Amino acid sequence: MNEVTADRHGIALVVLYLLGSTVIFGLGGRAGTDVWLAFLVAIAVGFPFALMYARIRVLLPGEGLWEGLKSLLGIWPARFVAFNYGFFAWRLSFLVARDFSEFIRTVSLDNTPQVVPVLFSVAVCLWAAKAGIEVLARWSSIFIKVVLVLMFIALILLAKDINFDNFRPVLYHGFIPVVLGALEILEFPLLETVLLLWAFSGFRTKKSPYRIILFGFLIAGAILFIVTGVTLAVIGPDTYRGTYFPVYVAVSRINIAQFLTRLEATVAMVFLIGGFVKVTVCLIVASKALSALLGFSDYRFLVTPLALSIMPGAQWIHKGVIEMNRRATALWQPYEVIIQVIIPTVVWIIAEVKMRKKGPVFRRSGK
Amino acid sequence: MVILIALVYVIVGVVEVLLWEKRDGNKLAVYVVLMIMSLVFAELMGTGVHIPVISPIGEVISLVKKLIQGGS
Repeated sequence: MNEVTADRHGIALVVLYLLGSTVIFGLGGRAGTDVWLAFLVAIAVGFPFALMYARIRVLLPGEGLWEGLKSLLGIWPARFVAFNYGFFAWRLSFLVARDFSEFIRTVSLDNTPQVVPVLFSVAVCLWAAKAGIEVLARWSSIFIKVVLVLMFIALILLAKDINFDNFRPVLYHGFIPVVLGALEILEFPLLETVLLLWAFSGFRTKKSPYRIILFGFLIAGAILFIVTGVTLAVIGPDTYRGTYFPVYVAVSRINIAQFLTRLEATVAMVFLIGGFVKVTVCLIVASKALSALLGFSDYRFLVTPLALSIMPGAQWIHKGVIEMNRRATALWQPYEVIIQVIIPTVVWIIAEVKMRKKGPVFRRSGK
Repeated sequence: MVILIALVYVIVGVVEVLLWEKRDGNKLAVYVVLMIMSLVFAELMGTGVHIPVISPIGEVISLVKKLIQGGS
């Protein structure tokens, strides 16, 4: 089934996917008072990669990425790539589902078994994944407004608690912590954009991948930059590093005349909306990659078994909230470097070389 | 607990297959195999067994690291 995503809907999907489970974590904490600078560096470094991902999608012929990879690399290398991205997406869905349950357990339902929140979130994600990427993108275009309004309200109400002294001194420990913080932010979440190459089936125009991926990347980067900056300005660098969910802590400080308090639920809502989109995208990508590996054109019949396996996977991926936080704020691991940088770079170079050699022929074999 | 989990999986699997418009043999075989795998994972989880989640390339990288470092 051909699913064509409109640019506006696609951008909303990319933004929510990147906000995903990210918005609650204290990313880039090792940069201390310079977290905002680490975000700017990460966005600047990540942008060329996002451009490369969009370029790959434009260069590869065919409706889905799989058809393009098959004609570019041949069947077995394409299968190797599909296997790795499918596995990466499947594993990422475990991580995000676990983030869901850990967050819910930590902030409110501390006696609830881990599997209960995962079960309900997986059921909704399964339904959405079966509906397909086009429906999810349309849903995102509606719910991104809810997310933006909630964030804006929280930002306005936090304005009186903002203390710009928390940004000083600038570069007190030099540029190395900023670089380390930027690497941390690049790995999770900015370069997880790579999975979206697999998620989308069709685009309206030839330039749509550029618009969707680049605008989505920049908007999500800007939102994360503002959220992190405001959080740091409200709670300070020590609390930012010392808590598992600093944004939640910052929003919990909202107190308007003892009347308007306890607005942490807004953060939880943003997290749940973003996390839902992220798990669903991961499910779609894992199902598409697996169906490509097995030679099926339809991926939907694989969604249920893969979704059901998230429940045990989410239990096994971490031992607890400490490990979850360590993983979220870890530096770039070799596995992620291969998936996010090396494989896409190799595919892009091969695609550029082949396109220059074959030119219009290579292009004509596509849409 | 083990029987309950198995029962839920069987119900979900049977209902979903009945809802398919076309029941292709290959698709059905792959679906059944994956559901069984998923059921085994769920049963292991239900019985408190913990299996580490690996990543294929990650395992190769750690093996190469060990080989480069040497020693026992």
